[in-house]
Formats: sequence, structure tokens, C-alpha cells
Amino acid sequence: MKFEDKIKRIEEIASEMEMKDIELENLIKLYEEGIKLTREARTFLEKAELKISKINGESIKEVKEAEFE
Amino acid sequence: MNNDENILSISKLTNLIQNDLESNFADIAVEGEISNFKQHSSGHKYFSLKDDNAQISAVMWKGQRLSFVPDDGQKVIAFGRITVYPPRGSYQMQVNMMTPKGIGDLFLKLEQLKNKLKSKGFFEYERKRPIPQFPEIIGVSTSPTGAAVRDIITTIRRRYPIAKIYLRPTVVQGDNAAPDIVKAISELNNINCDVIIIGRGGGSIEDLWAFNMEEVAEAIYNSKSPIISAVGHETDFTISDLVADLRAATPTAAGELATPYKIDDLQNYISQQESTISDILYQQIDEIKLTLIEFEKERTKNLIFNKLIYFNQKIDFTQDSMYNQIKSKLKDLKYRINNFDSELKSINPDLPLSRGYAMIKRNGKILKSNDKLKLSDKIEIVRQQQTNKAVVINKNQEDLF
Repeated sequence: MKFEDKIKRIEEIASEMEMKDIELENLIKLYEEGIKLTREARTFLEKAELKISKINGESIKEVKEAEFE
Repeated sequence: MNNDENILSISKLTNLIQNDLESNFADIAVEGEISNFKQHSSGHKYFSLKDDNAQISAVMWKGQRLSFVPDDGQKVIAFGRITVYPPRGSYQMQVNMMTPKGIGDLFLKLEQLKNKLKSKGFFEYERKRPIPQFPEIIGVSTSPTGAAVRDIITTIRRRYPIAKIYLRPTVVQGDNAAPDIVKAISELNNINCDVIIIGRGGGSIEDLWAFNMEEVAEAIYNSKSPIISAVGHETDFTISDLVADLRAATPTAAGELATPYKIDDLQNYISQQESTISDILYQQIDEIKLTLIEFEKERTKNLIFNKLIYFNQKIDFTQDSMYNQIKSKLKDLKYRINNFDSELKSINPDLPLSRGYAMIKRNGKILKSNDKLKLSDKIEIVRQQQTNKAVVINKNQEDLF
């Protein structure tokens, strides 16, 4: 699941959970899904490290940021 | 012609000339040489434009930008309109923009291309592609050396290091620049960039020229991925900037526009969403609890009510059965009383008399079997029909009578 889709799903879950007369079973299910997604998203952000590649025609080569300093 | 009606006043004539000149020469470009250049303290500039055979007065109002310092004898291309000044019966050129000759040619081409692309709808706001909020791949087409690429990379790393940068080193100056920019846009489209930054640092109009070429404008227009154009600095405006989906004033600004959200803000947002979800859970559980309590109350009420009905019935039944028991007890008692009565009858002492037995009384009391009679005791002999008085004359049993 893309990061963007995760954010959107988390927002969706929050508003679904807020609905009146929601069933307990459904509420718990949504909560578990929501917490799972927020944890995944957080880990994803914590681990984020900028990757730079140079492309030239067909060739793509990863390079270090220091190359541009 | 001698008719008075055909004679014009000077004002009327001047007015007619003014209308004619100002409407026919409202948007012109002329080539000429500057002479008598004077910059007034007010900021307005007064000069003449001339060639070998003619000259025209010119004025450039304060606030019109000039990218060079004009000098007498300099060949220029001036853009503007003709205006008439009736009090002096003179006409002059009001210059909006002026460039040295050579560069003037470029501006002419630029104006023509701008008009052409505008009529083709290249600059329409409606056709601009939205910049994605969470880009995963950011394509960058610029020179691999210099401040521009460094500024773009630093900005993206600082704001949004979860994106991947695909840098396509691009020739941005000289004759090879335009075809290379076109190729770069195509290659970056092939790897499905979420957004593409094209640009370069500041420079003269010639330096930036590739970004004013029609083939580059076409490539930007036809790109699948949205394009942010960051050509030059602040005041430089190119065709690329107009066609692009977004124009950035500097390379740093391009990095910012390509990354709408900062990673710190996203982290905070996610933590906030996490606690929101937990808060909602607890609120909803409390809500459900309340509903359950209400339900339970209602149920208990019904239970108690049913129990009461049951007990009421039971009391009624018990009452009935007690009544029956009492009734049968009473019946029983009655029966036993009747029996007792006949039993009583059966022990009546008169009964043996009817069969011929006698009863002996002493002092009015019936003698029992073990009562002893003494000599001379006065007794009564009671039979059914007759009672006789007697005296005991012998105490031996054989001598009783």
C-alpha cells in the first residue's frame, strides 16, 4: 500500500469509527486496522532516507548526495 | 472647400489626428538609435529614436524596467505606442520595454511565440496538472553541477526524504540545450515520475533561451507528469514558466513546491491521527456501554415484572389449595365428630340395662367393679324399668343377696 493511500485510509477509518450506532465488532476491527496503518506509516517516515539516482537514457545509477556539495 | 462647415478648429483637427495615430499605432516595435538620452530626477526617461532619415521623440515612464543602461548611439528595439500631446501639437513614442538590438530580436521572437502558444491554449489554467501531495519519485532535469541542483536536493532532503530523486543531468545552455531538455522530459516521463522539476540558475536572456524554445514548450505541454519550472531567479520569466503546471521563483522554491508536506508535519499528523483513533474507540465503547446498561435495566425490569406475575399466580394457587385443605380438614373433623357421637352413644351406661342387666348405686354414685360393699350399706338397685332400695346383710360375696 502506498504511503498516500495509507494516510487516506487512516482518515477514512477515523471517520468510519465516529459513525453513530457502529457495531462493537466493526469498531474494534477498524481500530486495529487504523493502529496498524499508523504504526506502519510512522516506521516508514522514521526510516526515510533520501535516495538519489542519476538517469541517462536507459541507465539508472544510485549516487550519493555528497556528489552535489 | 470654401464652405465654413468644412473648416476645422485646431483642437478638432488635433483630436482627429490623436484618434487616428493612437489607434493605429497602439502596439508597435521599432528599431532605432538612441540620441539625447536624459533621465529626469522624477525617474522618467526622455530621448529620441532615430535612423539615417528620421527621428521620433520617446518617453519611458518611471517604473518601466530596463535590463541595460541606455546610451546615445546605442541601437535598440523599443516596444510601445504612439501618443499625441495636443498643447504642443507633437507626437511621441511611449516606450514600455526596450532592449539592445540583437537581444531585441530575441524579444520579438519571444513575443511572437508567446502569442502563438497562447492561442493554442498552452497557458490555460484549466489544463494545468495538479502537483501530487505525496510524491514518491521526483524527476529533476538540470545541470548536475552548480547551485540549482544542490538547492533542489537539499530542500527535498530537508522537507521530504521519503521521495526518491531521479536526476537527469541536462544541458541547459547553448545550442544543445533545447533538444536535451526535450529528451530529459521524455526520459523522466518513461520512469513515471510523480512530478518533474526542470530549470537552471539565473543568467542573461541568452543563457535562459532554451527555456523559451517552442520544442521545449511542446515537451512540457505533452508531459504526462506535472512539471514545475524553475528557470532563473525571481524576475526572469520564460515560456517554460508559462506552460509549466507550476512556476517556481527559485530552485529552492521548486523543491518546496514539489513537496507540499514536510516530514515533521506528517509525523505529527500521524501521531495525532493515532490518538484520535484511540479517543474515538474509547468514546464509542463508553457509548456502547451506556446502551448496554440501558438495555440491561429494561431487561431486568421485565424479568422482575414476570417474576411478580408468577408469584401472584403462585399465591393465588396456594390460597386455593390452602382453602381446599382447610375445607377437607373441616369435613374430616365433622366426620370425626359424628363418629365420636356414635362412640359416645355406645358407652352409655343405660345401654346394658336394656338388655336386662342392673346397676348398683351407693349414695347416688354407680359402684364400680372394685368398690367394696360393707355390711349395712344402703344401696339402690337400678334396672331399666324399676329402682329398688336394699341393705347389705352379708359381706361375703355369696351372701350378698
